[in-house]
Amino acid sequence: MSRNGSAKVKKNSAGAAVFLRVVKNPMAIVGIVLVLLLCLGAILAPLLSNYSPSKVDMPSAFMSPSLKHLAGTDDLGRDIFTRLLYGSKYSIMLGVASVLAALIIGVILGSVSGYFGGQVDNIIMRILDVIQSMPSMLFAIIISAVLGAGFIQTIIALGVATVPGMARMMRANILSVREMEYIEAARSIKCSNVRIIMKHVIPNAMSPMIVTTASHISANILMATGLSYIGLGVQPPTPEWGAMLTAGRNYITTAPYMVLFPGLFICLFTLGFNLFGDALRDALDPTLKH
Amino acid sequence: MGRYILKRILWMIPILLTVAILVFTLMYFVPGDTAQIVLGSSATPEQLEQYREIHGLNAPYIVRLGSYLGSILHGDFGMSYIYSTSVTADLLARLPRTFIIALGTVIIGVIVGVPFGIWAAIKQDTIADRLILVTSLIGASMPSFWLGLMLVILFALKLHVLPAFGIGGPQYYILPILANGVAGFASNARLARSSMLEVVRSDYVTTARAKGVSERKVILEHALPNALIPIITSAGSCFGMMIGGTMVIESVFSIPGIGMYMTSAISNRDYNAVQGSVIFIAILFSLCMLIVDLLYAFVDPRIKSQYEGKKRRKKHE
Repeated sequence: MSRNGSAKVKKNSAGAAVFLRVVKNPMAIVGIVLVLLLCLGAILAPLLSNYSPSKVDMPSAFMSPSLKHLAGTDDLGRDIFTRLLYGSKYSIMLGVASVLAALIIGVILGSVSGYFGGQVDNIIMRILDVIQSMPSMLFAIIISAVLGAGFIQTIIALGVATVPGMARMMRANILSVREMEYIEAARSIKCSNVRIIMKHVIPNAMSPMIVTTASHISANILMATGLSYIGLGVQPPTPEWGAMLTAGRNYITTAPYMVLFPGLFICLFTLGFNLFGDALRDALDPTLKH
Repeated sequence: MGRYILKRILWMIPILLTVAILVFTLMYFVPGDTAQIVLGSSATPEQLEQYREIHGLNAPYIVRLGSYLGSILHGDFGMSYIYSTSVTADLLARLPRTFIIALGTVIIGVIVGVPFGIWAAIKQDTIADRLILVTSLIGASMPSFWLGLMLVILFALKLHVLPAFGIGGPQYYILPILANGVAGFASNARLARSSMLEVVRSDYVTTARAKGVSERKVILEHALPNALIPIITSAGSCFGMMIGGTMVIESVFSIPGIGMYMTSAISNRDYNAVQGSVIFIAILFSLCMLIVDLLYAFVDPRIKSQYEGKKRRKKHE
């Protein structure tokens, strides 16, 4: 009982140290603030804007950015800023949901593969080899082509395309953790494989995964907008940023702001995640900083 | 070393065959009747049946898969359902354009990005370092096709110095390459910087400095060769991103390359053309990764010696 207690304190203090290092990094704060602002924007959109994100208002179409319409209006007279606020939730969910799904599957595949080795490892790795012999964007394109365009379909496509990278990384971490003495100790007291994997191997192999998760979220948001752009992915009239950008490209000569602002929102959001991910990586790997 | 290269090349064959099976199977289960798509809604049931018979669409899955794999092995990706042209010929005709963009992107990404990253690491915490860091951070956060559109607005629509889209002289490739290259530049510079920083702090570099070795020699002979290993890995994984980016960039700039061929084939449900393009890109990508792996083995003597020993250990890398 007391052993468990002390282990818990130690784990918490390590977590607290990482947290402190992240908070002390000004770049991380900028990143966190950017992400939080956009999340708040998504939640508070109805309070922040008096306009509807979907109501067509032809007389006010193509109005340039002004105090009344911060980012102008689109071809159907909808306020672009309002649509961007409402659209945040789609982009956030696309990025986060696809990466979390890939993380769960990747951790399971990577753990099984790395821990057991042998034939199981061989089979899983060869399947991943096949998927990874295509660029992940290409694989996401094929899956979207098969599943059809749409929100859930895009999450699945991005998730499936992200799994191999996650699984491979998890496997590499597991391989190094597997050889540790505490695993041998657990084995010597006859812990079951499931218990060793769940209680000892995965927790110790997870920290690099957290960093990958942050950077994959931004990569997947970019991929999602790319899919929308080539006509797969989320479709108009959903105010997803990539879909808005795509709709705007037809008016690039007359209303460049229709393309400018959705892109800026995408940049800010991915920048936020990149900054946060970098700070997390530095915090978990203090040798880099000093 | 020869054995390693041979093994690596032979390994590509089953992988690419499995890719072909996977893609064929995925496309096979896409809902929608090819005959109906090609002939339109006005076609009579007899016409549809005749079309299916001619193109072998009535055969069971396994027969169609077998004949498809057989023709791929002869370099034949079948006919485009929509244009009735040879997919192989179409792809080969479009390859040079995609190749130019991909090559330009790799040059910006790797040949410019990596040295900048290394330079930033050497000059850590100076203005140059911060500038490279911020530029690469912003570059990594931008969708490349959005950057492409912004470049079009600036250079084509406002300044009128470069063409907005289409193909023609070399000037038509400047904006696409720039738009696609920035992301590669950003990620390679960032990764090169952090790998170099890691190496610069290692004990052997400190030892070399303590011995009085000149800073130039420390960087070029002690730090760089060791930093190159992770750099090559990351540059290799960037190839995928760059090739993936090319698909989208081609449709931004209306460049009739492989990417645009594939995206229009997807929207036309021209499955032979989709399958062909995907497998073709997978072949190109595998060749790139082969080069990366060879470079990797060339730079890292540990890998070379492993391969002369046991094959299994490579998988644990």
